Amino acid sequence: MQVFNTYFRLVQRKKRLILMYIIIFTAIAVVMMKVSTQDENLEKYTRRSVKISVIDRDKSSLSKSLKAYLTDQNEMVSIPDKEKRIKDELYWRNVEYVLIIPENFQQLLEEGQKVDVISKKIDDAVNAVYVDEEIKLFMSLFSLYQSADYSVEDAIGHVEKDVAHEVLVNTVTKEDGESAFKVANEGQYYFQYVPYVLVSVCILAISCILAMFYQEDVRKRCICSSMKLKDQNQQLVLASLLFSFGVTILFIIIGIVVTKGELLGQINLLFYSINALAFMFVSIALAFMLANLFHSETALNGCSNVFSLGFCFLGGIFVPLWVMPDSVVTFAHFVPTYWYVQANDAVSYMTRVTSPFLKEFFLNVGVQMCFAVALLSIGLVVSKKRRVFS
Amino acid sequence: MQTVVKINNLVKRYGDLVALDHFNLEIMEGEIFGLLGPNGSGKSTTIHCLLSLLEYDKGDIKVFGEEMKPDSYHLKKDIGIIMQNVAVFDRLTVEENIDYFCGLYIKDKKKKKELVQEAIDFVELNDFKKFYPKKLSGGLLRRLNIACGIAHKPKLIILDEPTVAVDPQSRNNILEGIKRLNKEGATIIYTTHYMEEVEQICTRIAIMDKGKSIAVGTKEELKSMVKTGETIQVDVPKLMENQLEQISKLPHTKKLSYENEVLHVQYTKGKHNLIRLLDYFREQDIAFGRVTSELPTLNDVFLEITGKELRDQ
Repeated sequence: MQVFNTYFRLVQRKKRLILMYIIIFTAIAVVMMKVSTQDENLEKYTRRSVKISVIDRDKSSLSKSLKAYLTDQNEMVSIPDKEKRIKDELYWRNVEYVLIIPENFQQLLEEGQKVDVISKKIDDAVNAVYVDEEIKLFMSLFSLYQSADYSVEDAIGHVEKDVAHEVLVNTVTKEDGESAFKVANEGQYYFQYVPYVLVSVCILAISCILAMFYQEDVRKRCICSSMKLKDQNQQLVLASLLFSFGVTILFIIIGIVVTKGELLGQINLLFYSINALAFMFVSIALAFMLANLFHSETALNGCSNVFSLGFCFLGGIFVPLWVMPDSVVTFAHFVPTYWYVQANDAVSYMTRVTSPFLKEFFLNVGVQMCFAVALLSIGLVVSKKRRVFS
Repeated sequence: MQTVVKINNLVKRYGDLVALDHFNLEIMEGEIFGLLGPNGSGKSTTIHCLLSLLEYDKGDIKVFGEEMKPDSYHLKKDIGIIMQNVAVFDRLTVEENIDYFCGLYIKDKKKKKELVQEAIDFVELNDFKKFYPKKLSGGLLRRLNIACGIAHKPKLIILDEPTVAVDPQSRNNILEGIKRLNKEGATIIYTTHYMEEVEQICTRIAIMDKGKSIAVGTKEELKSMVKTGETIQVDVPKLMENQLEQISKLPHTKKLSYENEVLHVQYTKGKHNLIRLLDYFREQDIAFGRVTSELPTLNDVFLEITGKELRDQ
């Protein structure tokens, strides 16, 4: 096992750097986990009030009712019905949301035609989502009563009654006062950051070490030796697998420790671990590909930062995908971390193992494995091309 | 004596470029065999084909009497390779590097340990055992490179231009080491474009050009193959045109030049050339200073066969 032993001798030479990454990662993951699962965030609920302006061009009973409902829910700002003025008010953030109810709105709905209200909002208005949901709720209820052959006036009356109900929001708590979802959420936040460190450590260790074995002259010397090339490669693969498996298991153990052992009794841990192991294969394949592409340690260190940060930002690890533009979300599908996060989220929402959950989870894991195979294939092609000495 | 390497009609092409053109070679046990030729003459291609690092288009290669193939591991165990570039791990110490490459051949731990120590002793790197390659000077790095190639005590050692960009002291050290390895029983194949090195250590030489072996023999045999004789150099303060013309007409004179008060006369093979030249100076009452005479070199052999210089190719 000459190659295998030398591989781990080289890992030892890099132990300081690897340890540094593990400590930094653990610190980041624990801090993010604590910040993201603080009790006040989970157990306090406050309704949002948005600065809204409603321009009613219909003046019907339906439009008035909708305006009254939105006024009740939000802070109403009055602005004139002029295009330029609406734009100005939005630009200066005097209003966050402008709703225009078009003429003949009620009449067209009565005739069974499809008609939409016009909404204008500031580009980065996160709160606008609440108003959209309120309008959607109001109109859905109206459509429901209308489809049940209620008259318009009756339908409006029922809708007003329904939306007037105050929704009581309570967080479910355990006897000791801790949130029942907290452990699962802590696990989610902790495991969400695992790809960052796996990619970093795998590139820094596996890529750099493989690159040493793949230096052209060292490789020639090894090919000329009496040890079969197949045996040498097998030992390299075995060592890489063992190393990354060890690192992944270490992170799973750290995860159990930082959640104070609470994860141990949960089925979620098993799925979090399977997901982390799947991503481990992606990281190994990526490390193998990069080792064949770059032989300089400096270049590989650069790659480590580019790929770990790039994957984490694009895949929704550092920044949730729902705050990103659609184009970024579409692109994220081509990043393995996206599928890791999807699987991780699915595990965090899972309360019992169901067939739809298993289907969704293993689909996401399967896509990650496809990424691993693709990266490995690229690595093998590059390796074959490099083997032809000229 | 047993034939260690036999290459028959080897052809290797890179597209339209013929790197080896029906190349033949036979190396006997115990030889230090020099492959001499300018850059691009096919020396490294020959070595790569010999080691099965390259596929070739035609011909056959036999090592220790058996056909050499990529999976001829039983033959590879008796071959040591030292490349032009230092091929070691930067993150392993001198001792660990030698141990790694020796371990690719030797499984027995005790035997391996002994061999590693012997290699360290051989290249005199005892004081640097725990050093990382980056801490070593160029000469010490070359010694480490050699130690990694010979630690498993191969019967055939191939050195591919091991002295390129090496200072003269380290170069002599390497050449002396090669002689010692040969004395201990190893057959050596040494490729270089430095003819002085080949003259210094090789028992037999093949001169290569354009993928062909253009001459093979001992250095004496090679020099005897050509018509070029000695070159005489004389410090002469003043020489007239007509005197130069008369010197050029002296028997066996091949080429003549007079620059910076130094006269160079190259002769074809023949006797009494120096006496004849000095007699002429005395007859003409020409004052002269230092006189030197040089025998033909391998460069002269190469020049006469190919019409071009071996150096600066």
